[in-house]
Amino acid sequence: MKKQIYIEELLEKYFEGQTSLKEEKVLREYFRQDNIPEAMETYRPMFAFFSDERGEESHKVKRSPHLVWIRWTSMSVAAAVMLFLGIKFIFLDAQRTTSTQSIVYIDGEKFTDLNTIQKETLNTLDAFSSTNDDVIASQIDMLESLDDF
Amino acid sequence: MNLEQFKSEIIPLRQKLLLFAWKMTGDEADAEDTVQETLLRLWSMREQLGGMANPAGFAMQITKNICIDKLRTHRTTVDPEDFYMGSDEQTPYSETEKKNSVDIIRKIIEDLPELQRRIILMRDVEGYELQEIAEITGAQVSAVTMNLSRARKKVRDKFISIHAYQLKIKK
Repeated sequence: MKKQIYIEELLEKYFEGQTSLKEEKVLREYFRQDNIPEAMETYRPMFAFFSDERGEESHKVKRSPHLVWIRWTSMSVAAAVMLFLGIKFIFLDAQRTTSTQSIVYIDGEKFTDLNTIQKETLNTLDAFSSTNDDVIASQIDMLESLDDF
Repeated sequence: MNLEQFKSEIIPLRQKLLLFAWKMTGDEADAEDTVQETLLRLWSMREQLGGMANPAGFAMQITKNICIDKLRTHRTTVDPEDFYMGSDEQTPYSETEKKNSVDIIRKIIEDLPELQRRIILMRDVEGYELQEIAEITGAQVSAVTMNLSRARKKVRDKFISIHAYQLKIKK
């Protein structure tokens, strides 16, 4: 209690700019303790900042090795689960494309037969590539005609 | 440049800088602050000062820049909302809160007027005696004490209001 009153007096002096360097050190040390009255918590961050900047050991809850172990284990478990889910999704996806779930519509008619689908897909790709060929050919033609000028 | 050199080469410029700052700001108190700021800035770069061809001209330039800053801008103030971190932890003083609170203090100090900021950092971080700061700024110890006190109170009051605001929006 006596200490408490002393600290309060120091704080009052501190805010008036009247404390000595030694007294300010006492304040910083006081605010590095874990257990201080609730009313004093308001001032803790200010002194913690100065302690941090001065490189003094600050008020920190040290992590026990046990906690560190739990942290790492839980992170590894989480990573493993994510990896498992990721792989599962990829396989599910692969299965889906080779299963009978594939559907094409040709002129509004629905087809689920794989052979038909493959044929139609190739046709579509051909259509695209031939279009591209046409476009490229016409561009080459245009460039050649420009050269004539 | 050590304190002795600083006192013999830079402090004698004080009167000239003060008159210049007074002319520019039109206010004696502003001019005084400007000159103290100038001298503290020069002190913070004392290593380079020794090699300078014209430290007086350099000092004048700094004074001029500070005056322009003073005339042009109002310092931005710390907005409590910048610091809201939706921490749900109920412990009275969690690690997150502690870190958050120290960051708030850092920001409040950054936003102090330059003279107050330099003085509080020189005292509370670098551990200068007030007498030393007074010698560097060529000001009275009482003037340094006043600025230090203002800076400390401002940090405290600003922190309390930000903290109260955070508690309010948490509820």
